[in-house]
Amino acid sequence: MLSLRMAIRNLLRNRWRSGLAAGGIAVATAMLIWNLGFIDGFLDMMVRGATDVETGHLQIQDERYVEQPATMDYFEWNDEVRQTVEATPGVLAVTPRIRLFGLVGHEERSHIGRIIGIDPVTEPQVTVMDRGIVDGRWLDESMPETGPAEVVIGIGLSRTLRVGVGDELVVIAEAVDGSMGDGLLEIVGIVQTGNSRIDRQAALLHMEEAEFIAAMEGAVHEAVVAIEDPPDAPDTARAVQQRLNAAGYDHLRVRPWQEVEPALHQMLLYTNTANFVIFAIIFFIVALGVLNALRMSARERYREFGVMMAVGMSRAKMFSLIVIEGFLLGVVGAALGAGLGAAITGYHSVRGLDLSGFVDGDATYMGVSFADRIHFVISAETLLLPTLGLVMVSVVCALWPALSATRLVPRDAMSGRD
Amino acid sequence: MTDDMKIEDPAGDRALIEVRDVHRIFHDGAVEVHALRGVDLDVEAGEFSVLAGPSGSGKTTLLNVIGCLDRPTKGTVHIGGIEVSDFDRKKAAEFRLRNIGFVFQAYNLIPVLSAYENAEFVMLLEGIDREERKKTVEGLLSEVGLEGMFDRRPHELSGGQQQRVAVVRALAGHPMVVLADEPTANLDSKASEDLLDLMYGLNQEHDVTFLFSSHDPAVIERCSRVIRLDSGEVVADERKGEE
Ligand SMILES: Nc1ncnc2c1ncn2[C@@H]1O[C@H](COP(=O)(O)OP(=O)(O)O)[C@@H](O)[C@H]1O
Ligand SMILES: [Mg+2]
Repeated sequence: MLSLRMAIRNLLRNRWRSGLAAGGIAVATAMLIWNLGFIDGFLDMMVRGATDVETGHLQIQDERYVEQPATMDYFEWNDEVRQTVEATPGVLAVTPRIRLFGLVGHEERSHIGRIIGIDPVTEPQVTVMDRGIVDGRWLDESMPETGPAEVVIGIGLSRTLRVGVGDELVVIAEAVDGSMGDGLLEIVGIVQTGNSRIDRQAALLHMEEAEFIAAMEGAVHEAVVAIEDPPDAPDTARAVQQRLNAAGYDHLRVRPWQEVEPALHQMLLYTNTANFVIFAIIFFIVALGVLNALRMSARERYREFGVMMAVGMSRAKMFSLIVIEGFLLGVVGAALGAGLGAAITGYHSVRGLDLSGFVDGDATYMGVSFADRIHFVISAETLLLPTLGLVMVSVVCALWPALSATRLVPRDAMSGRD
Repeated sequence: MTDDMKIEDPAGDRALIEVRDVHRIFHDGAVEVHALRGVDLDVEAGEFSVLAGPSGSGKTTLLNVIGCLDRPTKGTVHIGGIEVSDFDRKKAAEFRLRNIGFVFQAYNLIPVLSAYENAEFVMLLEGIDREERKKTVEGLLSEVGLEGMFDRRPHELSGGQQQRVAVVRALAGHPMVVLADEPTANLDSKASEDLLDLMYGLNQEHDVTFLFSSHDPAVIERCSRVIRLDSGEVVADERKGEE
């Protein structure tokens, strides 16, 4: 208790110096929390931009399709497969897709298209494509009884082809037997998702129509799965794979999004490294300031330390006295910084940070367009990591002056010989 | 001696402090400074004595050696029959805490602690409980005339008052001996006088053994025994009132 009292009063002795050191710790803590919040918000946006719109959290494909996507490398989509996937713990929903590569055309204009046959009911349970409708509507639950089939296209594609809702669209794609299939469709909706692969190339149509164009039946190219905990996709993928293997579907490959989008996953890993470097630099700068403050304050008190040790204070106690000062400085500074950082980051997580001044409207990164506002992520980890880290830095900084103090010879320290 | 190094029953037929052929040589760069040259000295329990001598004669060095703040280059020091001259740092610190009271010339008190907290500092290090500390420290502070100033910080006290707090801190741990290195050097003559009166009173009433160093004639005058040092040697040793 005496040590604590002394440490507090010693820190208050030179308010300017202690205040500056604690202020430095506070600013660094707040900055790191804000920075982590920004990065996590950005990554969150990137990951969700990719997974929520198109990729999903898991993808199931035939192993040949994984190797080299080809129309004929489909797999049978039956109730057993669907139920096996759905029954795996952690799985929220699954939706099948037929993927065809071909041309989409209107009158004399045509463009390469990703022609995707989907289930309009289950697709929205896995991705948010349907929420990107900017004109018209989403595909109806079932195919129209008469007339042309429905199609929803990306906004970029609609501009390229200069088409809108109500216009007709022709699709030509390779069928499973190698022949060319085609279909006549009516545009019912335009989507803008922020994912350029969808926005610039996608033509979304009913599974049945896609089956018809590709001359296939009861089969799909991929099943896309939404799960509860996206970062844990690899574990869930393994679990689904095991169940499929057990049910005799070992020709199917279940891949987590980290594997489907390796570039995205790589970016996450790089970001971790970058974070580490940023932390190291900030910690180092703060350490210099704190070390300087603690050392100066200790050096000024050598005579005092000499007296305290002369009357019988142990070296361990001497040591702890200075370490406690460092600890207190760190706790006060980091706590202030955590409060400040949490407040600003919290604000930006709720209100978002307006980035429109920094990125132009159509900027995309790895197929995901930047939103105007980035919503920060604040978590126990992003709060505690900088806070505890800087308390530790402060304690570590105290070790040197503390050790120096224990090496003092009381009689020399008192006479000012040290 | 108990485990915690407190001397319970000093010496028996030996002197409280026995200094035998103590030499202390400092190496100041290439220069050897022979600060003590074969000092022999006995101090009995209850004495009120002073090491007198000009500046540089070795007073501080001798007090440091006796007070386990320094080790002799050669020779031995026994306190209460225990050889202290070969203690390592840890043992020396423990021994100082339990058995020796210190009053230094200046920078005696810890600036961030109040008079009361400074006074109880040694007792606190000894692990003595709160009640006993309170009883002892309040009693002693009042006895030295500092009632009503318990909460003052050292800078709010006069030099003489500061030295009184230091005396209380030294006494509170019930040491075998109080070593005071030029305790009046920074005081005016009135304050010096008062401090000496006080210490003499404590010596008489509580039977505390005091060993000073000083070159102040007023201090030397008041002591019952004067040990004169010159160039690291005892050149005279006279007891007054033994005529
Ligand atoms: N740590 C030291 N290193 C070198 N020389 C010292 C040291 N301490 C004392 N001395 C020298 O020893 C001699 C005696 O010093 P000291 O005991 O302080 O004398 P006094 O207290 O009587 O003035 C002086 O010459 C002083 O310079
Ligand atoms: Mg001296």
